[in-house]
Amino acid sequence: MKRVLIASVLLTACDGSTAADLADANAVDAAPSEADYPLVRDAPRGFPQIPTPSDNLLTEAKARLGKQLFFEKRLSRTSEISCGSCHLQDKGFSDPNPYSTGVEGRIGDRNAPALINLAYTTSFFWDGGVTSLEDQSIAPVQNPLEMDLALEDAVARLEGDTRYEQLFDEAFGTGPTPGNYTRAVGSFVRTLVSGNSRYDRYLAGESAALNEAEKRGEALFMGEEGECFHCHVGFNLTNDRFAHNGTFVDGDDDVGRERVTLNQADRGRFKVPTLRNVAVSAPYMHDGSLATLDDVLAHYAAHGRGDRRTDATILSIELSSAQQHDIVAFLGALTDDDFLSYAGYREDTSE
Amino acid sequence: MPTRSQRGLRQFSRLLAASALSVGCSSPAEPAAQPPGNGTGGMGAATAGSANAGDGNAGAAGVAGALGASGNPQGGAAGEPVAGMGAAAGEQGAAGSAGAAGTTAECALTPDPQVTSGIVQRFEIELTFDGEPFQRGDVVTVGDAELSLTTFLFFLSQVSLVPRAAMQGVADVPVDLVDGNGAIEPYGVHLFDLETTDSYSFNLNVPVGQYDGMKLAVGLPVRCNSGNPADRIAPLNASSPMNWVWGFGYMFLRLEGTSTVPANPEPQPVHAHGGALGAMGTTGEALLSLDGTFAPAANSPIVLRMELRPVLELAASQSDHLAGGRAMLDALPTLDFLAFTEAQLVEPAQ
Repeated sequence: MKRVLIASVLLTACDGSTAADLADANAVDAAPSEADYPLVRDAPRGFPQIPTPSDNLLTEAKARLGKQLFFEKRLSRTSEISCGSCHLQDKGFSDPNPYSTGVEGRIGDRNAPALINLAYTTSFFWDGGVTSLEDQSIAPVQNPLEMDLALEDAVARLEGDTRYEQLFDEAFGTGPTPGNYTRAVGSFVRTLVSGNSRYDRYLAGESAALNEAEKRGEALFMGEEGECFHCHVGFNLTNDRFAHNGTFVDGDDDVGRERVTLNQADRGRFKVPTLRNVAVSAPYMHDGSLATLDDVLAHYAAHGRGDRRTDATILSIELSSAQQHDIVAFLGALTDDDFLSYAGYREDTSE
Repeated sequence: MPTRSQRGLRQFSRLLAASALSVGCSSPAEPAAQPPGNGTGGMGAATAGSANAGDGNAGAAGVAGALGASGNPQGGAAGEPVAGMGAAAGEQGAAGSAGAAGTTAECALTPDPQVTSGIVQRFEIELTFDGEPFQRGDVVTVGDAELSLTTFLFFLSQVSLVPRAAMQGVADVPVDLVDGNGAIEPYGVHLFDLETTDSYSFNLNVPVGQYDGMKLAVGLPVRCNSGNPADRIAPLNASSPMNWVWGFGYMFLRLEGTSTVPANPEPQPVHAHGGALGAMGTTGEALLSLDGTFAPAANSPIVLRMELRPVLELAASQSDHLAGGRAMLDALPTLDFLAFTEAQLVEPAQ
């Protein structure tokens, strides 16, 4: 508790430092305790209240169990990997590799998406195949290219483990069950909320929070030259829909949203992701094919890869090289260091 | 003239305000995301959740996808996040209702019986290819291909019988899929699995009477094609072979095999996976209608023959397993896939 008090004083004293800096400073001796680093927190300023399903109201106990499960390698068939193996906090809970590596070195077929503000999202995976965070938590365990284990078998491995028996009991009043696994992991992911970037502070009136290049980039982003805001819109910088952004070309195996709708009009459309923390979540696009934000802006300035289904918005982008740089600078202002280093999200290794 | 930056800031702020307004209550801006009906039942909620992700006809996201494609250059900004948040609220509510009591209440493990007094009539499915008995592992010729069927599963559900008196306007009789002792099968559905010969037979609890036919669905009722599979037991559990690994809902029909043609000694996969993804909010079961005259009798199984040639031909002609699965479900009612055998078409004694 003393540490928290000091942190508060410091925060008040020096405007520029962040809780994240302080968390880092304390990381060496800090086992992230529930009291110091809660998972269930108020929504950031300007955000709607965090939506939770009525049958899975968000509690600290569920989220903490969910975090434990998120980092639990025994949920993979070979006990090699966990969710956290491919969703790295300092990368916005994304994977720096174009494709992630599952059990036995198996390579996945899409870029692992960042896990940011998914509480506000209505469908998941690049094609929106599932529509709740609870359902979403099943697929990575069972996917042969990821953890490759039947969910029931995975959860059965936790039975008799004193720590899990206790955590499940605290969260749900039961032992480990597949259904409560989904509710716990869904709860943890729901707490991964990022809303304290420099751009947020700028919007709150701190005009010095952005430099001139970033301000120019913001204007381009929100204007008819960059066109970015048509899809990356609102507090979460996504319209939560599906778009063909010029990445898919004929012959690609991955048809995107069409797989879900069986509608050819959806061929090549993929989920529009949030851009929060985008500067640290490289590589980009559903296939991880663009390594840097400069590459992404160049991709858009070139109107994608020439597929005839590319959305009209992409085709109307007009950006000079200098303008692209300004937008990249602006995107950097969407990084939320507090989120990327929050101690409460870290694996709890204490016994 | 406001600068672009000011304009952007205003847009962003307006959106924040709009989003905030939509918090905590269902959004009037997105009627498509609202549960139809009273919205309190798991069923209505589940439908709303499904529609949310949308098929092209009814779903909010299906429509949304079209908007996104057209670019929506002017207004995009002001309306979209409200809609988005409305959808979020609707979806979360939907997931909640469907998941809580809804999962069990609406896709009940033991649904309320439709027939309270009846005879447990056993039906046995015999597999044939060109009318000859077929067994798993048999290699058959379709066109110039040698075809081997390794996996074949489908759900049966929603069975009703056509009463003898149907000609006089008497309605079909919904009946329950039950085990040999008359207990309703989990969720009231039956999973046929080529690998498990026990699954080749199913039982119906049939009211005493005479019947001229049977109607049944290959697939699941929509109420069971949503909800959290982690809360269910087989055959609707999370690791059910019918669970789409990457999607919401279940396969209704799953066919896998290999095909070898003379020009290429390397066997090629033949896959057809069909269903209605829960996210699409559609039903999409194949509704079969079988002619056959019978009266229920305990300990006297009725044989149905399942002819595999047409489904194998169809599967082999499709290059995409999802399109193939959908095409198969669409075609099944016309394929003479499942039928009473000639021996069963005996007039029962009047």
